Amino acid sequence: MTALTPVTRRRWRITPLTAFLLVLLAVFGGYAQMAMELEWRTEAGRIGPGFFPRLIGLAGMVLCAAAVVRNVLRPDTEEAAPASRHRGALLLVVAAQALVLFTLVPLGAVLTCVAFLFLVLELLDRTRPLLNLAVSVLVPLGLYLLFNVALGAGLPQGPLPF
Amino acid sequence: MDVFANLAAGIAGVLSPINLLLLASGVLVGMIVGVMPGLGPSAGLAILLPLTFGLDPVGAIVMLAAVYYGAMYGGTITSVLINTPGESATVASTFDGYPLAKQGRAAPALVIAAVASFVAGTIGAVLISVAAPVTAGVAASFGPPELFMLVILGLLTLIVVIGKKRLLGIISVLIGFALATVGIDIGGGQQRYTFGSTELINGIDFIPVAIGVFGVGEILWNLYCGAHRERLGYFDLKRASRRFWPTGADWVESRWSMLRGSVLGFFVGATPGAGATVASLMSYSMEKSVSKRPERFGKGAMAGLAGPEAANNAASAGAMVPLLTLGIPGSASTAVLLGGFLMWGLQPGPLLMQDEPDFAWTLIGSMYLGNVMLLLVNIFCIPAFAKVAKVRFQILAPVVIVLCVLGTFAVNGSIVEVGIMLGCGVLGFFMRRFGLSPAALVIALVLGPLAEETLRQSLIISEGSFGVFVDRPVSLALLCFLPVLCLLPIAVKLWRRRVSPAAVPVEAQPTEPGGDHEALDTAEHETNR
Repeated sequence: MTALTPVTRRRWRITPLTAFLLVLLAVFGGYAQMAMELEWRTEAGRIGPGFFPRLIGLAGMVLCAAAVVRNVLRPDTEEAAPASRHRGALLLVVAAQALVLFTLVPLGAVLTCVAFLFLVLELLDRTRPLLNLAVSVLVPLGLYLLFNVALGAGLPQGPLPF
Repeated sequence: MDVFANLAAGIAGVLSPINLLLLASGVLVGMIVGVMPGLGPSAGLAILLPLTFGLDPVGAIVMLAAVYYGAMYGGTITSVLINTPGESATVASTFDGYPLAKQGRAAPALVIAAVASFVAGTIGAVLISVAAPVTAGVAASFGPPELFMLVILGLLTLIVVIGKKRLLGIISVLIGFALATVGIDIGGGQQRYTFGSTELINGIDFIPVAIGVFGVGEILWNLYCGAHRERLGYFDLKRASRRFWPTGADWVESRWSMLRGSVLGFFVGATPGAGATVASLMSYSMEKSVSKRPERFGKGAMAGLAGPEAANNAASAGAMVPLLTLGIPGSASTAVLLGGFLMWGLQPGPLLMQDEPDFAWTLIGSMYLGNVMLLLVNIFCIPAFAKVAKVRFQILAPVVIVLCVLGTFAVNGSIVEVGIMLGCGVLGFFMRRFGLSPAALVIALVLGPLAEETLRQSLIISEGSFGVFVDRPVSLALLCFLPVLCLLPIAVKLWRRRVSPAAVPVEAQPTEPGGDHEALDTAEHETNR
């Protein structure tokens, strides 16, 4: 009896993929719920704005549920995990990206990109601070010239005069 | 005669100094993008799309198409030199390319690959010149039901070639469709999923999603895999060396492989949903099966490099046929190109060659000249591009992210779109992490409005009856093809079981161990990356 318990536990393990699929299932559920509030057919008898979203939402829920069930029953078949995982570096870069999103307009493109580049370059390789500094300053200036001067795109200026 | 006259006019159109300059810079940039670790053609195209705003539509598309086939070749350089394919279509090039490099024959391998790309690109351009007007002529008679069926067929083909994870592939398509429904409903004008945001009324633009999923998503995935910690083994090249050029025996061994790969690649690439990865793997299997010395495959057979390389490049040309004539992208890269077309107000489809013949034929004409340019650039700059492969990922990653952020902002000056792009980058990471298909998402996002619109029009024609798909002969034929496509994986499985000993060399696999089937499945799955 005791020998069966760990096998059973392993078979029903919730993997990261299962969790991801459950999130997708919830998103599709919310999407389908909102689709139900849209018309299926118009008064003229044509397909309404809710027609396609309902099909997508319901199909998404069914398929995510099927994938969850399959993954729960066979947890080792679906993972595409790499040999080494660097969650720390990934999370810090994503956090730095979020900072860029909130500082791009108030600080301007050049200052934000200089700060982001230096931060991430130092995070990934601290052995070459001079190279990191040079890349952090030259790349944003080059891109600013390319987008603002050559292409006339109008990047945010921030406190800088250019 | 019309074809020749149009083609001559198209080539003449490219011969303007500015277009030639754009063509050359597109090939160069494409090569650099292809060589850079962690960036494939679709990511490169998506990131570079905003840089073409100041150009006229013809020049911009000529440049982007050049980036596309330049990047397709660029991936081969890293396949041969560091056993790391720049993108999935060059996985097959590692099987014999890397063993050749280990034997000290990296330079001849890259020269043969360049010539194979040139031959395939030129054959592809000739075939597209003939096939595009014919396909457009046939497709001009298509109505909404036929177009709807084509969209479904294209997406189904994409899911079929995904390999083992088809369920996740379909979920990816649905995510793309769901994103495509955001904004005003084109039928009735009602807002859907805008949450009161004025920025979302016009829907989620394709560009931030493509840049996020392909550009940022790829970078995040490579970071997670530890690309910033890797020290790659590397073979150096010197053009002055006598061993730079291939021998006579190399040419003899690879000449028919190039031709076979070119024809096979074009037709596989022209099938919506299939693509360069499938074409190159099929070519590898074919070359091995027709070779008199199959035991040399995986140990440095020049034919094992020339065939897949030709197939991969011919498939890139072939993928332009459904894009130009049906408006259906067959791959992630052509989906980005389609986004570019739409951005400049050009609607690819059956009427493109009638309404915009100058544009369509200039694009086709640019393929001929682009291939010549690609060959010259390749042969004379191989050592220089090989050095680009040495750029460390820890420098490349943040620079690419900054380029993505500024490029996205430059499109509409919208910080919301930057947020969407970064959000899609995280989504792209999770999709790669869990085996979903970013390519399927982006293609579905592009095709979603077309699918909804054609379905709506079909049901208006039939007064609400789904019988319209059975009543029309072409639509019925396409409908009958759906079950065939669904049964195709089973047939392929049986076929692989029969030819499995001749498939892919286990020792040359750049991916996970697990035998021939797994190598093919993995590479097919990589089609989505």
